[in-house]
Amino acid sequence: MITKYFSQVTVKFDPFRNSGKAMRLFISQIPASTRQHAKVTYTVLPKGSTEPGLVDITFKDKHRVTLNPDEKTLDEIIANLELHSRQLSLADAMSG
Amino acid sequence: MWWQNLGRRFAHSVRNTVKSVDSRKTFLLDRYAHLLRTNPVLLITHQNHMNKVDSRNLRSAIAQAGGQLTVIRAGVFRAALRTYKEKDPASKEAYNKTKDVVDPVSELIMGPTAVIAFPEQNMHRVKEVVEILRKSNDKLLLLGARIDGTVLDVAGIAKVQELGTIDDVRAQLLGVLSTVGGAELARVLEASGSNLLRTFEGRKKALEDQ
Repeated sequence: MITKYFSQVTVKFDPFRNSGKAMRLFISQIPASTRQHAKVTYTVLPKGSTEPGLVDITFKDKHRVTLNPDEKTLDEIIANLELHSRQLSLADAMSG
Repeated sequence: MWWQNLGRRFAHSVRNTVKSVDSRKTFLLDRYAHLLRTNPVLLITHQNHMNKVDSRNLRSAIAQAGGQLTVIRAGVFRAALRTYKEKDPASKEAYNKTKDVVDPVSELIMGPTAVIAFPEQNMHRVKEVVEILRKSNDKLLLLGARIDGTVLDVAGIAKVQELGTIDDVRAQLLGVLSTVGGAELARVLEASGSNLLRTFEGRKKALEDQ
């Protein structure tokens, strides 16, 4: 996953829910170095909480993607984020 | 040769394990089973990109607070959760016997996981470690706990960590009971018994009258 263009990462998940495993794999794909250029916040929800899970990513160009992990698979979430990351990386390559 | 009969001679002491006796999986299963038997309190955490320095710092901080950090292999730990009560947790018998057992905490044992084990039920120590985890910059993300076989989520841990040691809780309970008043408590407990006695007496009298 391209995390280079993230400026803010907010993840909320309930580890007891089905989406918990996907979210844990998702946050393990965000390397520690992301914290150097992005504000990273992880919140663990209590069991049975009514609050839905959340993946909220803001990119460097202020584009924001908000997804509900309870309704999407991990692959879908990553594909959604890659869509914008790839555009940014292409723009980077063109201007560079 | 003298060694050719050794296998037969010591057959009674050879373990019949699912994986081979000298394999890493058997070693880990034994280790995790021992961990589960000797530690009533376990904190389950998601471990995130700990490098060597982080690992060393967190380990020593947690050890000072009275816990022991172990980065686990999730699949083997789930197996240990099923079989740790058996005589030989790595044996084929234990495996077959506990195939259908589902430990509620096994939901949390997925992917990169580390557990922090406490050899005694002292919630002051848990509180200290939770504080260390909070400051760990999400290197270790607290997911839940297993205390005496029951599973707690993050909200449960927040409540439990204020309880102190098990002896403190016992003393508190005793305090409550004695302030309510021993005499009154005895009267309440006695009430149903004396009611029953009266009913029987009444019945006996009725039968005698007949």
